[in-house]
Amino acid sequence: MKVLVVVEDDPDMRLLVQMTLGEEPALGMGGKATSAAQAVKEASRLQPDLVILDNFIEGDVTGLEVAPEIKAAAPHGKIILFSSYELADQVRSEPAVDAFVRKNQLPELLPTARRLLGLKEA
Amino acid sequence: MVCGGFAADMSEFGTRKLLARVLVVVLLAVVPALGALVYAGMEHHRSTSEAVRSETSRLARLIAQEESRLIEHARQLMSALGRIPEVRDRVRQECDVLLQEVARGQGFAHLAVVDGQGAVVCNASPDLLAYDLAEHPEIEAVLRGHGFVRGGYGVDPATGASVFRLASPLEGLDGPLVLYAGLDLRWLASLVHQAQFPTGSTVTVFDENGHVLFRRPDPTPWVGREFSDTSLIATVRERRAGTQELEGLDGVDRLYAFTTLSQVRGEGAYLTVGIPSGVAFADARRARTVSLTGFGVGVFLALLGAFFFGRTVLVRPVQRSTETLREAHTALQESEQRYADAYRAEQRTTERLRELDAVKNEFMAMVVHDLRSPLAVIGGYAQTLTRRWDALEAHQRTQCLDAISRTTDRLNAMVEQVIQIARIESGEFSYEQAPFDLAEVISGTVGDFEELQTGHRLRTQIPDDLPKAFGDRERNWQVLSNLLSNAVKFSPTGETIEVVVYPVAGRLAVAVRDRGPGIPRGELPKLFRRFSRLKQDGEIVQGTGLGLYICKKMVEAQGGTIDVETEVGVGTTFTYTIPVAQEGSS
Repeated sequence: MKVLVVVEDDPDMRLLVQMTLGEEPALGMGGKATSAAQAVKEASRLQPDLVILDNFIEGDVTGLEVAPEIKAAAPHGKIILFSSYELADQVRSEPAVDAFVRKNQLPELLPTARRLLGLKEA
Repeated sequence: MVCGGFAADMSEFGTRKLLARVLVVVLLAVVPALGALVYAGMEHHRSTSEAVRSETSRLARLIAQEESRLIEHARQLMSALGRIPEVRDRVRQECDVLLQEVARGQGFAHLAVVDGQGAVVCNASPDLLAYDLAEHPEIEAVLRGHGFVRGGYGVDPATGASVFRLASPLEGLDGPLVLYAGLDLRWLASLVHQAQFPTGSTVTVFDENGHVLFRRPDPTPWVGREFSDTSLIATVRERRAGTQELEGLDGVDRLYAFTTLSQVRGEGAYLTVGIPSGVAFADARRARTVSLTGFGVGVFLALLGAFFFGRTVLVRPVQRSTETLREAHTALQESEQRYADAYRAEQRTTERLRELDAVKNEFMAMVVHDLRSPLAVIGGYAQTLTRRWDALEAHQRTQCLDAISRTTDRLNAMVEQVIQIARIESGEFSYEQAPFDLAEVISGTVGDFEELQTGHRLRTQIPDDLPKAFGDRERNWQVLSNLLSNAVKFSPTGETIEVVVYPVAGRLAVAVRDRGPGIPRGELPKLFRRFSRLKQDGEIVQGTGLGLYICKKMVEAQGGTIDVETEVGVGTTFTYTIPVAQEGSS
């Protein structure tokens, strides 16, 4: 079972992420976070395999900015930056982020997660 | 300031300088007059000297004429005497008497017959018989055969009197004899008397050796004495003729005119006429005094005239011009100031517009962001339902539909509020200003919330005699709904929410108090800003983040205020005020 942490301050969106990734039986919801500090804390505690990271979260620190700390806290965890904005260029220059998916392209979230985790579609 | 200080330069100091320049010009104009005056004085002096010199020359000519006449007369007389036997024959006694009579009668100071050895044979002055006249040059000359000799002026060594010496040959019985005569100079006195010189004037005749031969007035102390070392005599002997101011023999400064009298055998005599300087130049000095006084008065009057003329004709117009210039300068400065103020105001306006633009851009960015998120949520759930309808369990479908519904409501509210904000900020949002029953608004709003059955206890505390409020009834309903909505969202179920109304300082205060978690102090500064969504346990409470901002704008537009008191773990109270309706207002 792969451990998932969702960093998102909008509960409806978080639920949507959980529902979407819930299709994959190998993924289990490990924890949630709404701020950068919480994200680092949860990553360190749960050592997740996958982190879905919203960019605009609570507080002054963005998801992109906190990604290296999350990676440092959970080195083997994969990080998918999940945002309404087009951040592909910024993500390319941030090695801590493994993939980027826009929120309006929700169907790509699960295949991306599977690819990063080496899971095959059931 | 290009002309800063100009007016000051042209003020008092400038006009004084101008006036001073006018006076200098006037002074420069009168300087030639002073030169002319000085020249006239010198000319007067010169003409005075010339007059004295001319008078002296005339006197000298008179003296020469009289001298010639007297000498000729003496020559004839001496020639006649030479023919008289008593004289030729050296009859001593008769000769003496004869000579005495002739001398007395003809103005001779000395008359004598001298023999070839210089011995006096007979004499008009018997006591001088023994005197040796052999050394007399005119006697020598006669003895050498020169005939009648004009010996010239001099002091007679035998008598000590001033005389004009003459010698004439006569043939005696025993050899050649010489008739020697010293012509008395009294005749000069009558000529001098006729000349009529001013009081204090002197007429002096002296010989080549500086012996005074004649002096009028006061002859006694001077005649016969030698003054060759005085400046007067030295000057006269050197220049021989002319005029000059000199110190006289008596120490008195005079204007001296001098010339030579007859010169015989190199022994001349000099005539000097000295007129006291004060007298000689009295007219010149008087004229000079009058001229200088006139000049001074003229200069004074000219300066006075120039001063008043300058002030009236030059300085005052310049002062008026300066004043006009100063006023123009002041007006220019004021104008510059106005332009500068206008420019700064324009800059401030531009800056303000720039800030507003930046705020608007930021607002737009936030609106876009906040629209994207719910749209992504709605789109995501819709896609999930579409793709996985069969795979989802019933409660999951319900979850999706609820989320879509919630988010759509949120989106609607947000769009509505964005439109409201746009209207508020563009000034298009209208407020009714009228008295209304605040108690009724509160009761109605609280009633609406009770119908929602949120699980909270709602209480109101409204005084019975609550006066009417003044403002917009609908907007008050909106503000109160917003505050109650927040209170419901943040208060745990079962908690009490109070709405308290009370009058304060001519206003009515409405306080909405909840028992929620309170707001951290760090959140307070951004509480009434746009998109400042409150969070509970770190999660966004469903809302637009525009509600409190709109409340603040609406309350302020009605002349009220809104504030918050909060304590974490205790609760939050939002209080807004609204004016009380005045009696008679409709």
